[in-house]
Order: sequence, then structure tokens, then C-alpha cells
Amino acid sequence: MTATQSAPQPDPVGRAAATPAQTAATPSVTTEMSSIGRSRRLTVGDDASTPEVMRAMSVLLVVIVTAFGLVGLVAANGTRTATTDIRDNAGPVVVQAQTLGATLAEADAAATAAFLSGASEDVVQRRSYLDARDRAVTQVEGISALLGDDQAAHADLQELATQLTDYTGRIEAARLAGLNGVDGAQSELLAALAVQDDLTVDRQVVSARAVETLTSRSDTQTGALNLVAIGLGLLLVVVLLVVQRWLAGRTRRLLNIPLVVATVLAAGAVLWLWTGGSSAVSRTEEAQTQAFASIQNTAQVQEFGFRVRSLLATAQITGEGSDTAPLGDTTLDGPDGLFARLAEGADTDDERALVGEVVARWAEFETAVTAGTADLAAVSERFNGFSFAAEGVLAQNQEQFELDLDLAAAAVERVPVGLVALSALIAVLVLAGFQLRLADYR
Amino acid sequence: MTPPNRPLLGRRNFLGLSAMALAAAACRPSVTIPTNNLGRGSLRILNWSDYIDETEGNSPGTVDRFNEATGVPTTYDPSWVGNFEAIDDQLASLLSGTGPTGYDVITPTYWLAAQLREAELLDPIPLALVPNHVNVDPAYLGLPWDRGGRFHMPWQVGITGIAYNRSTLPQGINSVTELFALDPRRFSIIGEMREAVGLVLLEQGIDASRATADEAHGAMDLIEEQAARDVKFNFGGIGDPTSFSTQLADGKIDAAMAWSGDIVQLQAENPEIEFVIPNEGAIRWFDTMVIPKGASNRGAAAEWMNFVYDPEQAAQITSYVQYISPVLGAQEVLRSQGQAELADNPILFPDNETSQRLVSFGGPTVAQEQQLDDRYAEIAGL
Repeated sequence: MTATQSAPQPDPVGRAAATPAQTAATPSVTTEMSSIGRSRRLTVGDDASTPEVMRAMSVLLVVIVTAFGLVGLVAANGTRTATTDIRDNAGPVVVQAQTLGATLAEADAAATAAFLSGASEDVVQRRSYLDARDRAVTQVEGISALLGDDQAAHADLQELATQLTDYTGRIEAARLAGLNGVDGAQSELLAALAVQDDLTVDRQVVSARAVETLTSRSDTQTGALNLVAIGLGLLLVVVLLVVQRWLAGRTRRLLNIPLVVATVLAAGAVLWLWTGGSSAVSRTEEAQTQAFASIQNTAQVQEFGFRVRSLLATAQITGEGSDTAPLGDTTLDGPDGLFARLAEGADTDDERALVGEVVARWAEFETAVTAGTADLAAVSERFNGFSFAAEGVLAQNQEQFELDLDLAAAAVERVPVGLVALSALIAVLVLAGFQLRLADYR
Repeated sequence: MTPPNRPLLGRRNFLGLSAMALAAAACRPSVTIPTNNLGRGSLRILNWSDYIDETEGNSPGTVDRFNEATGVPTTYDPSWVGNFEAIDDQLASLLSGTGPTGYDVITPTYWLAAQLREAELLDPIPLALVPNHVNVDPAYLGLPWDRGGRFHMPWQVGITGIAYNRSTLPQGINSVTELFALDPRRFSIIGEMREAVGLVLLEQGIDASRATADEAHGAMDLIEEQAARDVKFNFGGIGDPTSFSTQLADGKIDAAMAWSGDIVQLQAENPEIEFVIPNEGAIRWFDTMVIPKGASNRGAAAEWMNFVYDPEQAAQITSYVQYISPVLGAQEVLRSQGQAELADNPILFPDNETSQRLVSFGGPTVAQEQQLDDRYAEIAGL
């Protein structure tokens, strides 16, 4: 005998017991519901597992969100640390190392020109030497402060600093001997110039290591962890979409607002992580391939120009070698020379104008030299015009380099904290979304 | 013809340009100051008074020649009366971050331009529009605050040396020591700190371009001793009764620390007035054209700078104001125009030997310079 066929029992509150006929006429709730459709199978008892499934889903989602948040945090933090380090340390070091070469060459040329003026020292050249010397010392100290705990780089720099001290000491000795008409002035100057050659080598070592460091930092801006984080983020989005579809099927409520918002935020977080990292990398690359390349070219132009001037002055001091031959070198102004490279790298109208001025002022210097003018001051003035114009190009590219690195760092500055905040918010929204549906079962 | 007027006005509390700039940078300005305007619709220039040749009869002045050559409507405002005054007045909105100055070109003295540059309150000159930038004297391209001259182009250069009346001082005055040995009622000291202190530093054998703050204060101690003797402090400006020019011309003083251009002009009618560069050297200063941040017409500003850096135009300006032209080629133009007197004047076109003795004051930091400014203002009663 089925439940529907059992003998009617007296109703505890006195209602008339249902007769078998009455009971037979009243279909069970389950049966009635099944006639309406699957979407309304919300009966307690028969679908008691649905809330449990929901709870399990919410837990799964929270786990995925948490994993995304944690991995994303570590990955984004790594990108930010590397990018910030490039902006604050590795980047400035490569620029300083490049410009140090030009500064040292400037000091050398000014010291030589001042020496050349004899007992009535060219005060303007002397001042230029002192300014360049002080700047070189400041740049060395600046590089040292940026090197962190790179012992090998510090050792290279220490070698350079030692040579610089030796060089400046010899220049002062040559100067004093020259001013006082004491023997040995010329040999002291030539010894200083020999040290300058060593300085050039040391500076190139420092520069090469700095470029190496910059490159290796750039390589650490993004890595496998970023991909894992993005993968987890995409998984989160997919699972959220699947879950929402399932819930819609179960409850006939198409939209679960908290879960919709959570999905949008998750997609946004993934996009932010991806674009932030990409932007940081591309900006850094741009800084290196454009602005820094121009900085390198400009520094080489300056260095070469100063070398020529120094050679010309040395020839005059020693009486050996031609006092115009160094101008025949086409390193600067040949068809594939440094000037051509500089012009090629100029990417704004103003920079092109500055480069044009550098070339024009070098031509004026050459003219002054080859005219055989005895007016050393006029020759120096022309050379200064070239040198300072080159500094204008350098300064312009330095600013662009720093701007590119600033933008790179800005692209990822807030990503780590932002990801954590978004993940927390997504988790809360997930729980809220499921709570809404779970409430239907109470 | 009146030389540029740099009158002495009341000393205002100077908050310090750096402090103001920092405050401006920290606050979000209520007005966004754009920096990419290459407008050429019009041009507003702010300069010192009597610092440009004016139209006389059928002979157009520089501004009118510029209008004719470029068609750019130009407003030339000669109301820059002093650097500190401009900080309180024409530059106030820029410094407070509330808006641009309304000018496209202004002409501060070099030290103020340096501070504006450091505070990032200057727009770069669109050099692509200034091919005559190649005529900038290299002496002004290597400044530590603007290597390459991307943000400034000098307007005129002056020398602060010693002027004296040959008829009352036949023995001449060749040093600051000799100047300070005179009766305190019969000489004056220049009201510009950098120039007065710089001259004393040179007298002491110190390179005024690389002085320390302590050295500068030491020089100021000597000036303070003179102030205690009631020596006057003043500026230039023929026609201004308080200026060194007028006081020399009127015989009220026999000697003064003085500006070269003012004295050259004074000599036309007062040939007994001599200008000397002291044995130990003199101070070179310059006023320079810059584009204040947010200028609406950077393109027009660049055209103006390019125009006045044409040696022909520069020669015209020099023959009027009689200060040193920073434009290469101006001297040759004057000579070719038969103005050898000007072209060969070592005060207008210093030769190498003279240049060796000219120095621009430098060395102290901006903050230290502000302290020096404050102390000098107290000493001089400014």
C-alpha cells in the first residue's frame, strides 16, 4: 500500500482526514512541479544538493580569486620593482656613465687649452676645466650612489676614481710648473694626457657594465609568473561566466548583479595586469632604443670633438704632429660619421634643429683652426659653441629618456595594490552573489 | 635716450622662488597650464623700459620692423621694473600655479631665469623656428642651468664696474678698495647683490663665479661696513634722480659701482665720466629672453627671438641701448655700417683680454642666494 493509499489518519488539529479519493485527486508537489519544467525544480528534499553545489562553487571561486590576487601581486610587484629600479638606478647609471666620458674629455681639452696660454693663463679655459673637473667628480659620486651592492661595478668605478685623482693632480702640477716657468711642465701635462687615455678605458668598462645591468633588469620586468597570473585571471573570468550560466539555468534569474560586477572587475584586473606590464616593457625599450641611443651618439660626438681639440692643442704644445691633421678624421663628419648617426636619431623638429646647429658650429671651429688664426681664444670660443650645442642635444635626450622611464614606472606603480584590492572586492562580490541565490533556499 | 631703468623700489618680503615653485608644484592649479602651444596669432613681450630702439619718424623701431617682416601683431610692454617686483606682480600667477603670465616672452635677469628653469616654469624655445640660434654667443650656451641654450636667449649683456668723474678724481679709481676709501657721501654702491658682492669677491682674489656662501657673506661684511658709513645704494636710470647716472652727472657723487651701458650713454653728454673694469675684474650680467610656461604663442615668441638674433637687427638694438650684444655678427654689421666707434668700443664689444676679466656671479645654491638677497636688502635698506 502506497502513502496515497494508506488509511486516513485523524488530523491532530481536528481537520477531517483526507480520504483516499481526495488524496488520489491531489497530485504530489513533486509531480505538480515536474509538470511545469526543470527550471522550477526547487523543491526541498529532492534538490537538497543545489545549495551545497553553490557553496562549493563559491569556495572554488574564492580560491581562484585568492590565487589570482596572490600570484598577480607577486608578479606585478616584480615588474614594478624591476621598472622602478631601471628608472631610479640602472637608467641613470648608463646615462651618467655616458656623459662622464664627455665631461672627462671636456676637462682635458680645457686644461690643455689653459696650459697652452702660458704664463698669462686663459682664465676662461681654467674655469671651464675646474667646472668640468668638479662635474666629473660629482658624476662619479652619483654613479657610485646608484650602484647599490654591485661589488664588481664598484670596483670598476673605484679604479676610475683613482685614475681621476691621479689625472687632476698631474694637471695641477703641470699648471703650476707652467705658470712659474719651471722645467717639467710639459712632461707633467703629457703624463696627465696618458692617464686620460686610461680613464677613457676605465670609463668604457663602467659604461659597458652599466648597459649590461640595464639589459638584465629589463629582462626581469616580466616573466613566467606574469603569465601564470594572467592565466589565473582568465580562468577566474571563465569560471565566473560558467557559474553565472549555471545559476541562471537553475534559478531562472538571468542576472546576478554581484557576480556580473565581479566578472567585469576580474576582466578589468586581468587587462590592467597585462597592459601595465606591457606598457612598462615597451616604454623601457623605447627609452633604450631611442633616447639612450641618441645619448650614446651625442656623448661620442662630444668625446671625439674634445679629443680632436686636445690633439690640436698637444701638437701646438709639443711642436710634434700637425696642428690641423686631426680635423681630417671623418669620424664626425664623414658620410657614415657620428653626425649622420646623430641626425638619423633625431626624432623631433627641435632636436633636428639642435643637431644642425652642432654640425654648423663644428664647421665654424674647423674654419677657425684651418684659417691658422693665432687667436686661441677665438678658436676656443668656436669650439665651445660646438660643445655646448651638443650638450643641448644630450640634455634633450636625457629628458626624454627620464620621461620614458617615468611613464614605464607609472604604468605599474599601482598595479600590485590595485590587484589585491580588486581581488578582495571580487571575493566579496562572489560571496554576496551566491548568498543572494542561497537565500532562495531558506 | 634713456638707458634701461632698474629703479630701486621698496624691498618686499621675498618668499623665495624655490619655495613658491615647490608650493605651486604641490598644489593642483585650478587652471591647467598647457605647454604645447605653437601659436603664432599674436605676441606679447614683457621687457625692461628703454631697452629697445623705438620708432622715430620714418625710422621704424625693432618692434615695428618685426611686425612688418612677419605680420605678427605684437604688444611690447616695457613695464618690467625689477626682478623682485616681477615676482610679486607679473609672475605671481605663474609662481602660484593659478595660470600663465599672459606674456609669450619675458626678460628676467639671468639668475631669475635660472631659478625659473629650475622650478620648471619655462617652456622650451621651439628651436626649429629659430635658425638664428646659431648666432648665440657661446659664452651664454654653457650655463649649468641650461646647457645648449634650449630655454633662454640673452637679450643684452652688461658689465658692472666702477664709474667716476675724472674732473673731481683726476687720479682715477681702479679698484673697489680705492672706491671704498673715498668719503662715503661721495660714492654709491650698486643695489644688485650679485654685482656688488661679486665685485668685492674679485677684489679679494676670489673667483666670483665659484664663490662659496661663506665667501659671499665675507664680502658682504665689507659692504656692511660701508653701509655703516651711510653710503648710498642705488641703480641706474638717467633721469631718475636717485640713480648713479644722474648723481654722477649732477656732481652729487664722484664715483659709483655702475652699469656699463648707462655710463656709455651718459658719456655722450658727460665726457668726463669714465667707466673702468677694476684690475681684479668686473661682474658680467645679462637679461635674457625666456618663454614662461603656458605661453599661448610659443611660435610667435620663437619668431621674435629669431628676428632679434639676426645680426642686422641686433646691431640696430645695440646702437640704441649700448649694452653688449650677445649676437655673433652684430659687431661686424656695425663696423660695415660705419659705426666703428661702437664696434670698437671695448665696453660694448669686450676683446679677449677684457673678457678674461669678466665674471658672472655664481657658486651658492638657490637657497643660499636667497639668504644673501635677504641680508643684502637689510644692509642696503632695500
